[in-house]
Amino acid sequence: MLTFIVWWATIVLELAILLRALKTGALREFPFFCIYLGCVLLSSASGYVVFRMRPLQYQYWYWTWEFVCVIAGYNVVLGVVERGLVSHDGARKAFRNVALWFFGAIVGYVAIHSMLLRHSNALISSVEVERDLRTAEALLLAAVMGVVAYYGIAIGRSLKGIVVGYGLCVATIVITHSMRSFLGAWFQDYFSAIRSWSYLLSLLIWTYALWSYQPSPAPKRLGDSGPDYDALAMTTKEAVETVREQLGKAARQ
Amino acid sequence: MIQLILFVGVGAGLLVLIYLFVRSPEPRAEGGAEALLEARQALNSLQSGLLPAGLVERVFAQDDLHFVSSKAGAGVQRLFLCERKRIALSWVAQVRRQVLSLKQFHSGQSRLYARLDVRTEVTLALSFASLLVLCRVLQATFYVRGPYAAPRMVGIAITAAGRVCTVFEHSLAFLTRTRAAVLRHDSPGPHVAA
Repeated sequence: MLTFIVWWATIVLELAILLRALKTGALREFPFFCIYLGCVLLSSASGYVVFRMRPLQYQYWYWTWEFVCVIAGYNVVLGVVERGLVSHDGARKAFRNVALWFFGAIVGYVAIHSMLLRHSNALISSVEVERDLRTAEALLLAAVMGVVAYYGIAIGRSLKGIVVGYGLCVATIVITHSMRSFLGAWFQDYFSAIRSWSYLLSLLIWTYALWSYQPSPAPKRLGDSGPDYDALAMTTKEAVETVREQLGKAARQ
Repeated sequence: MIQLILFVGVGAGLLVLIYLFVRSPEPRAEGGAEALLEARQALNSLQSGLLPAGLVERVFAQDDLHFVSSKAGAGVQRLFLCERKRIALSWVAQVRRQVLSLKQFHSGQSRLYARLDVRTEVTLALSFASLLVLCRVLQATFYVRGPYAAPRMVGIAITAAGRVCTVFEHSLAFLTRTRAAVLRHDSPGPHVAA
C-alpha cells in the first residue's frame, strides 16, 4: 500500500513541478530538465497502468523506460553545463566537448559489456548497464560541481536545486544498483523502496527549487579580448612555477 | 567485491560533493576592482608586516639559538625551540595562504574570458594543487625537524618569500592594467550619466 502511495505522490509532484515550470517560465530556461521530468512522468504513469493490467510485462516496460530516462538524464547534465556556465563560454564549450566524448566512450563500453553478458540473466544485465551509465553521469555531475566550485561561479537557487536533486537521485541509483548487482534478487525489495523514497526526496527538492524561478546572476563578460587571457595564464603560470621551484628546493634540503 | 566498493565509493563521493556544494558559501560578486583591492591589501601586509627578508632572517637566525644554548638551561632551550618552530610553521602557513589567494584571484579572472584554454587551466589547477601540497611538505618538515635542522633551507625559504611577493606583485600589476583597460572600454560617455 505504501509503495502505491509513494508512486502516486511522485506522479502528483512531477505534474506539479511541470505546471509550475510552465507558469514561472522555468520551462523556457530549463527545457532539458522538463523533458527529463516529462519522460519520468510518462514512465511512472504508464508503468502504473501496465503494472495493474499486465504485471508480467511490467519488467520489460520498466527497463525500456528506464533507459529512455537515462538518456534524458544525460541531457540534464549537459543542460546544467549550458545554463550554469552560460556566461563562461570557454569553460562551457570545453566541458561540453569533454562530456560528449565521455558519453560516447561510456555508451561504447556499455554496448560491448552488454554483448558479452547477453547470455546471462536479463534483469542483472539491465541493472549493471544502468549502473554503468549512471556512474558516468555521477562522474560528469561531480566534474560540473568541481568546475563551479573552482571558478567560484554563482548559480541561482533553481539550477542549484536541479543539480542537488538530480545528484541525489543518481548517487542513490549508483549505490543501490551496485548493491543489487552484488547481493542478488533478495535485495530487490530494499532496492525498490530506497529508490522510491530517494526519488521522492529529489522531487521535493525540485519542487522547492522550481516553485518560483530564480535565475543565475549574470557575470561581467570579457569576451574575446585578444591575447589577454594568454597573458593572464602565462603570468600566473610563471608565478606558480617560481614559487614551486623555490619551495621545492626548500623541501629537498 | 572490489567492483561493489568502487561503485558505492562513486555514489558516496557524489553525496559528499552534493553536501559540500550545498554548504559552499555564495561566491564573491565579479567586481574586479574589489578583488584587486583585497589582493593589493594582502600583498602590502605581507611585504611590509609579515615577510620582509630581514624579519624572516631574524626568525631563523642561529645566533639566538647559540646564545640560548650557551647561557640557558635545557628547559629554556626547549621553550625557545618550541616557540621558533611555531613561528616557522606560521610563516609557511602565510606562504600557503598567499598561493591560495593567487589561485582564487586567477580563477576569478580567467573564468570571464571566452578564450579560456582547458589545457592551460588544467595545468594551472594541477600546479596550484602540487604547490599547496609542497607547502604542506614544508610545514611537515619544519614540524618534524624544527626550524634549525636544515640551515640551507632557511636561506632558500627567505629567497622564496621575496620571490613570492615579487611574482605576486607582477600578477597584480598585469591584472590592474587589464582591469583598467576593460573599465575604460566599458565606461559610458558623459551623456549617459543622467
